[in-house]
This record gives sequence, C-alpha cells and structure tokens, in this order.
Amino acid sequence: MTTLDDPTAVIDTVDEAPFFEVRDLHLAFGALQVLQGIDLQATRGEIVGLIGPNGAGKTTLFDAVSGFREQATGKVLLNGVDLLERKAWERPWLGLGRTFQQVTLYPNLTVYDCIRVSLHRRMPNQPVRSLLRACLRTAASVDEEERIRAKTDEVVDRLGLADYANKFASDLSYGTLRMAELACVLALEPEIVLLDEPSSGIAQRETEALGPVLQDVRDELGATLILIEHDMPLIMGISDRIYALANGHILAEGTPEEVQANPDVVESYLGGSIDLEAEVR
Amino acid sequence: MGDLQFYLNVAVTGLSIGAVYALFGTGITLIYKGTRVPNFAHAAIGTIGAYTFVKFWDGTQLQDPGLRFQLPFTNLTWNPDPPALPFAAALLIALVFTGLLGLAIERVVMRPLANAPMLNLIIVTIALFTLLTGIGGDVFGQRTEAVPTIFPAGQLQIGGVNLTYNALGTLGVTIALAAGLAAFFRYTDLGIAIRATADSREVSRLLGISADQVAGFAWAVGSMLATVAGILIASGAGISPSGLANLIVFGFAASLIGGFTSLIGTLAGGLLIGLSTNLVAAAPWPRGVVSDILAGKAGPTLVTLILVVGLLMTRPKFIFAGIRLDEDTGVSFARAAGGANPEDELRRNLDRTGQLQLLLRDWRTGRWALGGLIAAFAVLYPLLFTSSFRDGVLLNGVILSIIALSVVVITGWTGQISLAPMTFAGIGAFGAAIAQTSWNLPIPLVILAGGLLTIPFSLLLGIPALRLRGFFLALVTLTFAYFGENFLFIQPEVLARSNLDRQWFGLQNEAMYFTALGIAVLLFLAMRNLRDTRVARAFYALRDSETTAQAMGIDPVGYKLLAFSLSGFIAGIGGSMLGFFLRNVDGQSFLLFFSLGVVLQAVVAGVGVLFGAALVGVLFEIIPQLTATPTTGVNQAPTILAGFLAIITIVQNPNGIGGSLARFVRPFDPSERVAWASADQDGELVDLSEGTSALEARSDEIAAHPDDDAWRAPRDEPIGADR
Repeated sequence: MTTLDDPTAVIDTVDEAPFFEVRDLHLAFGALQVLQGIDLQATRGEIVGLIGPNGAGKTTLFDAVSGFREQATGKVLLNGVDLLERKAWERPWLGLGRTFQQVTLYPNLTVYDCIRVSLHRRMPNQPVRSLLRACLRTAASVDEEERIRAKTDEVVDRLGLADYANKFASDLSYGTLRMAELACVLALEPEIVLLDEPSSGIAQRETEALGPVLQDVRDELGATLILIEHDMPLIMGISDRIYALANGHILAEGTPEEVQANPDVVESYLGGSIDLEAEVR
Repeated sequence: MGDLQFYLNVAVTGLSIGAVYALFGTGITLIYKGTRVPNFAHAAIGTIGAYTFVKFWDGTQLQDPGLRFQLPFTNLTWNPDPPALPFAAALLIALVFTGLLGLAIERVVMRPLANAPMLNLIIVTIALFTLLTGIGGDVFGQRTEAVPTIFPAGQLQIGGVNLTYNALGTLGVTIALAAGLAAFFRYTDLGIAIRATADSREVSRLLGISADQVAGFAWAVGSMLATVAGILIASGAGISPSGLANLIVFGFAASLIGGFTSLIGTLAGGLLIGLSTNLVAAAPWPRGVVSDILAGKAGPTLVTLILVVGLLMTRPKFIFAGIRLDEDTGVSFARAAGGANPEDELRRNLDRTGQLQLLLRDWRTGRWALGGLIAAFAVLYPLLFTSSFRDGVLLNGVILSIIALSVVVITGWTGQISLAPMTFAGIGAFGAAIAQTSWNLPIPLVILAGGLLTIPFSLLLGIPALRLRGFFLALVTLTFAYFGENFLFIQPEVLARSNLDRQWFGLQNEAMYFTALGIAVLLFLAMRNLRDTRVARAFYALRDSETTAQAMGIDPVGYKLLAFSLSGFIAGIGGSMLGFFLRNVDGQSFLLFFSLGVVLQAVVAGVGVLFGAALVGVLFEIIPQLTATPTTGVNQAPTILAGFLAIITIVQNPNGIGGSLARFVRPFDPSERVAWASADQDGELVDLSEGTSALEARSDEIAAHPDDDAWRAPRDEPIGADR
C-alpha cells in the first residue's frame, strides 16, 4: 500500500514509464457492449484528456476504474497493482481519486467536515481500534484529529475555501461545490485523479479559471490528472495528451493538435472543421 | 384420522389466516401503488375499524360496551354508549368512518409530504400507528373482547376435512375483494389513473390526472380494506387494542411477495404465508431441541423472518420487476420536504430578523446554568425526596435515554433506519440474566455482558443492511423486532434463565438509579468524544452519500457493521440495567410496539443530536410519570403525544426538538445539519454572503452568484455511479 506522506514529491521527478495503465478493459450491460477493449496509459504528473460524444463510454470507464462497475474485465494497473481486484473503497488507499459528473458530496456536512472525511485515508484503517480510542479520547486519537485538522486547514487554504469551511455542502453554489469536491479528492493525496466533467454546471467565467486551477493542482501534488471534458478550449488547452473515445473504443490518441487534426475524431465528435474552428477559436 | 386429513385441516386454517394477511397486504399495496407511501399505520387503522364495528354491532356481548373520550390531563370526559345496530349498519359505520379517517390522513398528514424522502414517510406513518393505537386504546378500552363469528356458525365436512363457515367466508370475502380490485385497476379509468400516478406523479399531472385525488382514493379504500381485514380476524376470535399491531409484519410480507404492486401477487403472498407458517407450527418436529425452539409462535415467526429477509436479499426478478430501484435508497432526515428546502427558508427568515443572533448570545452564557440545573436535579432529587417509585421513574428515564442514544448512533449518524432498538435492549436484558445465572459473573461484568452479547445479533442484522436502505431496511428491522418478540424472547432455554439478582443494588431503586446515571454519563461522554472524530465522520459520510464515501476511501461494510454493533451495544447496556430493574426479565417489556415508540421519541427529540437522546428520557418518561395523577392522566397520553409530535416534527421541523434546543446549549455541532448552523464555533454568525474560492479568485471579475436556485447543487445521488 502506498503512502504519500511526503507532499514534496513534485513533478520534476516525472517518471517516463506509465505508472497507470488500462489494459483491454471490457464492460457490457447485458447485450450492450459499453467498453470494448480500452487501452490507455498515463505517466506521473501528466494531464490526460478524454473526449468523445455522449454514450462513448467515458464516464463508464471512470466508473469501472474507480470500482463502481464491478462487471468490468481486463486490467487497470496503478503502480503495478491491479485495481480491478480491489473494492471501490480500497482504491483511494492505493492512490486513486475521482470526482463525479453530478457532485453531491455529503449534503449534511460542512465543507470542512467533507474534507476531513477524506483524511481518513491518511490514517490507519482499523475501524474497531479507532472507535475504542476515539470513545476513550486517548492521546493517539487526539493526536490523529490534530493532524487531520492541520491537513484540512492546508487543503482549505490551497483551494481558497476558507470562507466556505463552515457552510453545508448543500448550501453551496455549484461551482463552489465542485471546488469543495476537488478539495476532498486532493485531501486523499492521490497519485492519479479522475475528473468527470469538472466544468459542467459552472459558469463560463469560472470555466476559464478552471484550467489554471487544475494545472496548479498537478504542479503542487505531482498527481496525474485524467479528465473528461466537453469544453474544447479547456481540455485542449491543458492536456498533455488526448484520448478520443467513440462507442467504447479508443478512436485516436495523441497531442491535442494531433487529435484535433484526426479525421475520424472530427467526423465522429467534433462535427466538421468549421465547427471545430469556431469552438477552438 | 389420517395424516393427509390432518394436514388438509391445517392447510384450511392456514389459508383462512393467510386470507386476512392478504387483505391487509392488499390495502398496503394499494396505498403504496397510489402514493408511494409504505403504510406502517395500516394495522392500527384496521384495529380502529374493527373496534368501531364491534362496538356498534348488536351481535356482540361486550364487557365494556361504551366509548370513552377524555381531554388529556383534564377531567373533561364523555362516555357515550353506542347503539346496538344490525350487522350491515355497524359495518357501514365502520367502513365510512375509516374511509374518512383515510381521507383525513391523506389530506392533513401525507399531502404536505408528497415529495418527502422515504425515511420521513416511514417515520410519519409509524407515528400515525402509535397515535391511532394510543387513541384507540383510550377510546375503546384496554380489554380484550370476545367477538362471535360474523359468518354462520358450524362447518361443512368434506372427506374428513372441516371447513368452518368462518374460514370459508374469510377466504371468499378476501378473494372477491382482491379480484374486484384487480379488475378495477385493469378495466376502469380511475384504476388506470392510479397505476399511471404510481409510475410518475409528474407524468400523470401532465395527463390531467389529479395525484391528490388518486392519493385520497388509495388511502380511503386502503383504510376500508384494513377495516374488513380487522373484522375478519376478530370474527370468531377476539380483539384487543394492540392485538392486531403485529399483523403489520404479515401485511408487509404479503405485499412484499406481490412486489408492492401486484394485487394478485399480494393475495397469493398472504395465502402462502398463512399456509407455510401454519404448516410449520403443526409439523411433527422430532422431540428435542428443534421442537423446543420452534414451539408455539416461534416456528411461524422464524419462517416469516426467513421469507422477508430472503426475498429482500435475493430480490427475485419476477417480484421486483415493478419496484423502481431508487425507491430503496435511504435519505437522511434533514432533507427537505416538498421540494423546497425549509431549513434554508428558516435560516433566511432568522437572519433577517436577527433572532438567531439574539438567542445564541443569550444561551451561550446560559447553557452552563441550564446544564448545572439538570445535573443538580438528577443528583439531588432522589436524595431529597426518598421514594422508590420516583427513583424507579428516574431510572427508567435514564434507561430510555440510553436506548435512544443507540437510535442516534445508527439512524441519526449513520442513516440506517432500525426499528428494533428495544429488541437489542431485550437481548441485553436476557443476556445479562444468562451471564449472571449461568456464568456467575460479578455485577459490572453482567452489565457489560448484556451489551457485548448484542454484537453477534447486530452483525447478523447488519448483513442485510449492507445491501438494503430506506424502506426495505426498515422492513427487515421491523421483522427482526417481531422475531425478537415472538422467537428469541419466548425460547424456553432463555426464559429458564431470566431472573436477575439485584441484591447488590439493594431492594430500593436509589442505588440502581445512580448506577444507571453513571453508566449513562459514561456512554454519552464516549459518544461525545466519538462525535468529532474520523470514525463518526465515516458514519456521517455513509449516511449522506455512500457512493461518494466509497470514492473517498470509506469502507462501507466495516463502518456499517461497526455502527450497528455500537448501537446494539449501547441498547444492550440499557437493556441489562432494565433487566436488573425488572428482576424477572420478560419479553413483554421488549415488544415491537415499544421499539417503534423509542424510534419516534428519538425523532421527536432530535435523532441527529446527543442532546436529543438525553431529552427522550426526560420528555417521555420522567415528566409524564412524575406529573401524572390517577385522575388527570390519560393512559396513553405519552404515546399519543409522541406520535402527534413526531408528525409535527416530520412535517414542520425535520431536525427534531433537540436539534433546536441544542442550538441553545451548544452553538455548533458538526454532526448535525441544522438550519442556523452557519454560526461558527464561538456562536457568532458567519457572513452568509459568498466568499472567494480559488476558482473565483482565478477569474478576473467574478461577481457573487445570484442566490438563484438554478445554481444549487442537485440533491440526488450521482446517477453515473449508482447501480
């Protein structure tokens, strides 16, 4: 099990070997083949974009990788460990973080507490022992909570959520809720983060700010980001590499420029060169 | 008489009992179909209908024929004697009355909750159940009355099989009503409208069908069906105010077999349950352990439990095809009723008037005084006023608070509805008795053993809870409470060891009271310590969104089982103290009915807050018992009050009284979601205007969002990740 207690592990230690790899991932809902042999790689500190029309299988791919589609077959290797053999809740402990297309977080918790939930993963996972310690308020338990508090303050500061820390998740505007969710994922100190349409539902102005925020996250954590995005300027602007999906296949892979120029991608997703130019400006 | 004849006779009896279950189930299915409400009050409505009929019918010779109306806590009474009427007239009165009752329930209680989360619907119908049962007990009297058969006496004999007219009549009425209703749904416009509404209120509104009318119809007819079922089961047997309460378990079981949608399936389900339970009861088990365990009601109870849990765990497709998957998702209490978010509204109002600020400031200085007063009362009252009765009342209050604390942990914190807190208390009480009589442990270890022995049962009940939430989990725990009452607590081996020796505490209650108080203080302190740690936060996370919690590394299996075990342990400790108080532990103290009561009381007092649990004992035991006098008290007043307040709580104030009171004594509790909790740790108000997140800071000139609903986060689970 990996620990990332050292937050100084930054991107100048970029590892060229793909530390994250999806191999021949298949998934079917009954007769419907949703993922038909996905192969995908990412190196440390890379930002990888996933594009594709609705129904291409992007979110399903995320669900399979993060453990919410247990029927998936194939391999998902993170640091050589096959995630598919682990339960959904174990995957964050192995370094995987993800956000959801529709954010809920925990509606009845404050932002501060939402983040503190994630810091559970930085402590030993021993439910019974932790319970007894907590009830008796032992030094170990008090110390743990101190550390959780300190880390939470750090995350809150990093994402500028101080004004929202005592607000309930259900009272936030959608854009802020997204940032709070991101804060929760970052508190896990993941090595790789799956971001499902981070720009959906937030204002255009905020979308423009999202790219730099995500790059900051990558730079500070040294984490790999894989994001699904329909906002073309955003995803083309920040991704190092792009995968284009259609009908459960990888249609194309390469730098943003290469993928945008790929005739198959234009055909199936970007919908003609005139539109593309308009969208990319 | 041959074996075959014997079993045929058993089968006939079983089928006629099953017919009543089926009829109960039919009403439940009808109401669920028409309104999406699981009606836990169904048996209570049936009891009231049956009593009304029995009181008016000239065929009965009642010991207590009158009705009794009394304004609670006053001497204002009215005791009319209902006229003796012919069968048809009495039946008509009962049907019209319960039909109107059903309409009233729909209009007054259920309609404001049309879009409420499932958990609120469950609690509110349980509240109706205790309210109606309590009122029924006061109005109709507590006596068990004999009721002659409503069908001609006598029987047909066919090949050695006795077919009583009562059994035949019961079967005939049930099948006729079920078939009639099925035809109604298939062939009439209104029937089709109800089915459309069941599928989608929105769509039916677009089609011009009034969902309210459909709901009214379902409640009225469903209530009348409950009355017919109540009369049929009383026919030739008898009736008591709480005697029909347990029928709710069988009604739900029948309805479950019909997938809560199919009337014919419900009919078949009821008959199947009646048949199988009766056959198990009559089967010639080999003498010895098995026959002892399955003696009497135990066998049928076990069959029912296995049936309900088995069906819910395996979810065979042919049954569950009609149930939408989203219907069993649990939702926390504080979710808004009726689409809007009342807490937001409340908070805005308070912010405008500034009352909140005032209240908090006053109570910040006052809370120590209040806490000191309560502590002084708890310690000094029994010392100053020596009375074993009053000490007993205080003791019971403390025990009730401990059991309510177990509800806070499992339902308030973890969001798992459990309708069996008294069952776990009972396991604790019997466990303590066994620990003392069989193992001769010293008293402190006996008390501890009562708590620890609940853990295996918590884990067992926790297993279905891993896959079920909301209504289906409520159903499993309800059946478990019934299982405790009619299986665990009637086992001869258990009853043989049910005496607790309380010499150590002395014969008076004072020493026991102080012991219980000390234990309660320890448990509450432990939970207070736990409340703000990562273990408790794992519970809250699972309550609010299991999907998100898993994505953030929370083990749902481990922490749910942990919450169930902790909750069971606390209830078990309370139970072992109750056992010492009772001396002779008896299942009658741990009925399903009492479990429902404790859950309701916890909801009323605030199920998310520790202070709420503490309040339960004071509000529902100590105050009513110490203030009641024989002339001004109404027997069921605390029950009725709890039911009434729970309805108000759910409709008006989902956080409970304790949630509000906790504001006064403790400004901020991270575990609860309270309207005005935007106050920070010091009790000062936080500025509610938008601040600046990194996202906004990055953007050049982002104005604060208009507080527009379009910007609010969607409140449902992420669709993408749910299965």
